[in-house]
Amino acid sequence: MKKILEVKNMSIDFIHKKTKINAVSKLSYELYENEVLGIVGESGCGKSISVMSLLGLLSSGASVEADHIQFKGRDINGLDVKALSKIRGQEIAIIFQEPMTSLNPLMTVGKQILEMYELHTDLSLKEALNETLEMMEKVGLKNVSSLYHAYPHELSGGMIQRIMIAMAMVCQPSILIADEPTTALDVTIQAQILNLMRALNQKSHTAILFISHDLGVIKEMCDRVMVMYLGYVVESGDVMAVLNAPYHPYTKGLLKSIPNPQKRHERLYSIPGRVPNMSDRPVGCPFCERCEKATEKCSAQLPELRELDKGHHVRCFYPEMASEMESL
Amino acid sequence: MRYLIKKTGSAIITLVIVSFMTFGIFELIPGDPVTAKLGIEADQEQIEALIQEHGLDKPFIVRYKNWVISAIKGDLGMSLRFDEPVTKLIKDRVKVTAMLTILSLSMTIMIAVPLSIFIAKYNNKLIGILTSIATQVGMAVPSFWVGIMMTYFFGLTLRLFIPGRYVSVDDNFTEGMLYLFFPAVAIAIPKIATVIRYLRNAIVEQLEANYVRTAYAKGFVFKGVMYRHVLRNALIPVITIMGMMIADVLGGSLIIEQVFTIPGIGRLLVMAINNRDYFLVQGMVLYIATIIIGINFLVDLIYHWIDPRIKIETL
Amino acid sequence: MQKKKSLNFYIGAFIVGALFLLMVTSYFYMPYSVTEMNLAEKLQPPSVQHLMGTDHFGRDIFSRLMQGSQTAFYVGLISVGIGLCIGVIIGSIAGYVGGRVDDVLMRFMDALMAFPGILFALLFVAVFGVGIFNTMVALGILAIPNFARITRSGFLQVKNFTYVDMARTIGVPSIRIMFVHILPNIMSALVVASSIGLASAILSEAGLSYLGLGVQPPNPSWGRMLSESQKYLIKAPYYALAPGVMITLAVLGFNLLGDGIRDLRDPRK
Repeated sequence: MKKILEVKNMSIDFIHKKTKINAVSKLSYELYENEVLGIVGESGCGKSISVMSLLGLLSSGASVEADHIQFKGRDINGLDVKALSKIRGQEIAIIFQEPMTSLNPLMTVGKQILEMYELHTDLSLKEALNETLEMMEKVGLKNVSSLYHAYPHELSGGMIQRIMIAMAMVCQPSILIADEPTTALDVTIQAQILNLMRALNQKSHTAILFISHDLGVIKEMCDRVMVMYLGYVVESGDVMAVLNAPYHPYTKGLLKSIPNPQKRHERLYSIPGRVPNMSDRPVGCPFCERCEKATEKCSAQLPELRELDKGHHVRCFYPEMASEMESL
Repeated sequence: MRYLIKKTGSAIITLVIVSFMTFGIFELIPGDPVTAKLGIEADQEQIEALIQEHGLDKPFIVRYKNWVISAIKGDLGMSLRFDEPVTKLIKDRVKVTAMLTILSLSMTIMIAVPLSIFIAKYNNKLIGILTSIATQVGMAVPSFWVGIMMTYFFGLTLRLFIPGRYVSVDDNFTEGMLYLFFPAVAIAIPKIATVIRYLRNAIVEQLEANYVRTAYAKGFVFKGVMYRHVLRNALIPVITIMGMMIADVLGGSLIIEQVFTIPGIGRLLVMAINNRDYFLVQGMVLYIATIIIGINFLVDLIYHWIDPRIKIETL
Repeated sequence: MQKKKSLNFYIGAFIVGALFLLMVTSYFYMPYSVTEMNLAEKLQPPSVQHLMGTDHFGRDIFSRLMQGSQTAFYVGLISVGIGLCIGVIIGSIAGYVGGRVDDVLMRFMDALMAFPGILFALLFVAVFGVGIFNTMVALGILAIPNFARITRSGFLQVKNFTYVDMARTIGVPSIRIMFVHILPNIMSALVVASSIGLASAILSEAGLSYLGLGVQPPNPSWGRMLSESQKYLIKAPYYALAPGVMITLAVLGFNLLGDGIRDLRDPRK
């Protein structure tokens, strides 16, 4: 499989009240053609910003540093806005979390898809219009010619997310970033949208960077997964390996807190404590304060990300132990 | 459609109330209305004639009705002083005032909109404070004083125009425009400040919106994001104050005409008040108020056209 | 952030305070008499003796400005006072009674707002004659709708609260309860509107007086000084400068004060 994206040692800092806060630390990953890579973690762990930074879409207070961000053999790290805007939409497209606010409220949804053709193709208006309608059908929308003239507030969240997907797929991008695309939707709609994305991924060989806090969704969608906590990748690997035999206590905790219909009336597990602020990150392992197995070493020293099985990495001093404890 | 009917209805009701007030207030003139209208030097014959002509012996509501009906027909009565129909007097002078108003309004928009975008683009704390100071001062400056200062600077010092003189655009277009340009600037300055204050805040706020992130993600650069997406959204709060602003500009031109001795309806009105030319005052006030209500109606329609969300809210 | 937000307030309070001091001082002391003419010293440029020069009758411009501040405050306060009192009454009735009465009253308020301020004032003085009293009444009437709207919305907010119903059931006149609860709610909005209303009243008074249709002699007025100065613009441009600066300062001060109070009261904006 061809590697289309390689991020090496990317760190993101925010300036807040004149102090620098590190939000993502030395993040490295690869993305291969046609694969779906999941990024999972609780909110505030840096998963969204670590992909938004690829396209320079962070707010002005953020600074991104990386050894390189190799996209299709070209380093896009530190490109200026103009060069990035050529990649945005055309090569890397994004679907956002809040469908209801992600579209311009004063423009018809059709026009907002049409804009993609105006921006990135040489089609005549009429051709672009036809393409737009066709695209809208491809993402499963009905009555497209009347829907074209609808405004965002007249549509449901699921429909808008379809519009967003249509918009994203206009240029057949190499990478589609999906930032919690179904979080705001009803469960039934959620399944439809996920199926649609999966189908598009298989048909057009677009790789997907799929961000979610929902491990169930990740399991459905992804080939590989990265678990992030407080700006660090704590575990990564093949989705089945990571979710079936996790090494890191945080991943275990996340898995245990999924409600299980088979175990009714049992108290739901939740990881003790809560995600601390980025500014209060522990010196050692980011998870040490909430980890039941943490030792003094954990709070003093940051564990390296180690490869335990083939392609299965974990950032923990006691991975086996954690695993054994669990099986007891 | 329902929106249109509703707005038309409310404009008509407002018009009725305004006309009623305009007519009714003259009933409150201290003393005998007939002598007040004609002045104390009027003789008995004139008084009789006036009573006959205007049906002043009839009850108030009948007179009001007649006045409104003839106003709709385009007859606002005769000016006592000029001995000419009020409508003709207005018609002769309204063009200048209209040009002045339109000129200063377009100036306001052409300067304030790009400037707001510029300020919002390079937004930081210092620029924010400087803009705030400039707009606050701009809003506080009386336009007629700006006019006087401009008369001194551009008229007396630089001799770009001759204070006290007025050249009509019908006689000499370029010079006529010059004579309208300075007064228009004087009216526009406080309005530019007002628009910038609203628009800058709106743009800064809109730039934080999620759809802006979408637009950038699509591949737009700042210019495209601004002109295709943000501006329209940011103009909504400006449009809501637009009706009031146009009224203000028109009101401002009434005073500015005095500063630059422009023979428009402002000067006519001041003259009419000084001459106690009641029918002229009454007619002019009704005329100007009608125009303003009409403009407010248009602004509502534009608002409705720009923001599709209102359709749902008002139903 | 907190610091910047109250900047408006401090600058506004400073300007208004300084003008207020000037106004109070003028009742006890002015550098020169403003009634005595001294034609030998007419249209003098600013100097040590006359800080802002002299006018066409040789009167000290600075002293006249001091005296003019009396009118500015007087007209501003009285007209805002009229607007406030009548506006609160109308707004209360509209908000409390509701229904038809509310519709009719607010329609009238809308109609009044449809007039450009200056046009209504001109209509008013055309009927009742020029002078300081009529100027104040005209500007006062103009200020009514804004206060009425604020009061009405305050009433509408509180009207449906349960404690008003409770009070009614135990026999407390609900209007009294409502006032007790509503007034604190709308107080800051009324104060803000008063301050900004003062600014626009001062501006309108200056405009009217400039046209010769506002405050009449012997009452001093910055606006009228401007219109007098215009005749001597060639010889004495500084004469036109000073009153304009005073009007701008007064309007600026009250606007900033109003905005500042709003900033302090409502940190969200």
